[in-house]
Amino acid sequence: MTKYGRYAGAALAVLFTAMATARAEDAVSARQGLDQAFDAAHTWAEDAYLIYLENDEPVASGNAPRWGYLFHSPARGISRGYSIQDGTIRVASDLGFEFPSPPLPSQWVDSAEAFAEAEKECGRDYCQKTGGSVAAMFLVGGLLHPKNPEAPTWAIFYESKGEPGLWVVVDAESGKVVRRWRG
Amino acid sequence: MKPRHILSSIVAAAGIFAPYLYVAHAEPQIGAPQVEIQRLEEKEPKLETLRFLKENRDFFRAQLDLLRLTFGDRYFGNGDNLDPRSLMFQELLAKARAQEDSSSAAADRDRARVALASVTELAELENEMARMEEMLGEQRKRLSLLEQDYQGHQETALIVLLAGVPSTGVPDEVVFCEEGGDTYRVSLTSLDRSALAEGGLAQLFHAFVEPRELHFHVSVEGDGWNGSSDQPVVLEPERDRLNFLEINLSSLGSSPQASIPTRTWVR
Repeated sequence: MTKYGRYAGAALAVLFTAMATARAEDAVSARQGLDQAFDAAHTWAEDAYLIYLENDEPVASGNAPRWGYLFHSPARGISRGYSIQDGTIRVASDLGFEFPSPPLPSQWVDSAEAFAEAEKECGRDYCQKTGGSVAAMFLVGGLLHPKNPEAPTWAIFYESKGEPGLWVVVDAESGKVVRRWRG
Repeated sequence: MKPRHILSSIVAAAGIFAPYLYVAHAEPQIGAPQVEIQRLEEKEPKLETLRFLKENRDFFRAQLDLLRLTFGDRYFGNGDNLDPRSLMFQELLAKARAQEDSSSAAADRDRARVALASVTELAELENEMARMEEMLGEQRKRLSLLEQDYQGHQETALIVLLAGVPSTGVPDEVVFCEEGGDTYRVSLTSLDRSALAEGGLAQLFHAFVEPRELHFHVSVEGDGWNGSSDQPVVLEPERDRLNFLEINLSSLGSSPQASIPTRTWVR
């Protein structure tokens, strides 16, 4: 490799590191964009309530640069999603299929807290053993809770090449892991 | 590339584009088909949202069915869903009333203390005051919850105003449609028309809007305006503020490529 080639390689490495750092700094918890999402949803439908949210960009330590919030309106009979990044609604679109999930209550632990609990419980161990990483995390009402269909839960899904994935379900009210499985 | 190859490339390119160059300078011929050329609006690539949900919708539907089988239809019945806020309000009210009862009881005890005789009972009074302070603190928390709920109300509004008179006269209707959303068709009244003719403004639209980048397509209809092309207008309303968008029609119709000047401000 020539001298200029090495310089160019080093410059690119610095550039990518800076980009990755900036990306991590832009990442926020799920609750950060919630107020704005509610504003938009209540313009769309006065009876809209939150039923689901997930990371729209890769998640790190429970924070992501962009989060997607899904609302349902009984009056309109449809669901509409808002994707929020840097305090700006980047995407607003109807879901396109029925997803009659129960409404989420207003009190739930934020994504960073739920993520930390999942990591502590088994997520970190899984990643170290399999070289896996977090594929997605989402908040949904009742569907995944083993006992309480009214309790909102965070689900963190880890995946690894050649290994079954790991699901960790965190009770979003108590912040404790209530369920986990491989698959 | 060798010079000879460059020369042959230029000759070949000239051969390919020669008919188009000729057409560009040719006079329009009677009976020749008219071709309308419109500029395509450049669009940013669409961002994905809720991808995991969409990719695993079968899994989520299966979980919903399981929930329905396990716990019955009480979460999916025909009844309207309760607004979680109304439950929160009831809870706050119950707590406030409970504290009211406690403070009434405390007041009774205070009256009984008129006959305090010993210094040791003063310590009890201090404890009572500490409890009252604690109750006030909790009341403040409840007020803060109510305030948060109130602040969550949407206040981002948009007013669209029309200004200017095109060279071909005031149109009958202005149509603006939001990309992937509603279409608004506004007929201009005689009052609007006279206001525009005298240099004034006409209000087309006033409503709450989603606080995000909005893409509108504006077109006009009326005598002499049939087939007028859509003009894209992009606006990013400021959250919880009254946003104004002024659309100036004065340059419309002067040339096919003329765009509509717009102006925005916030109150």
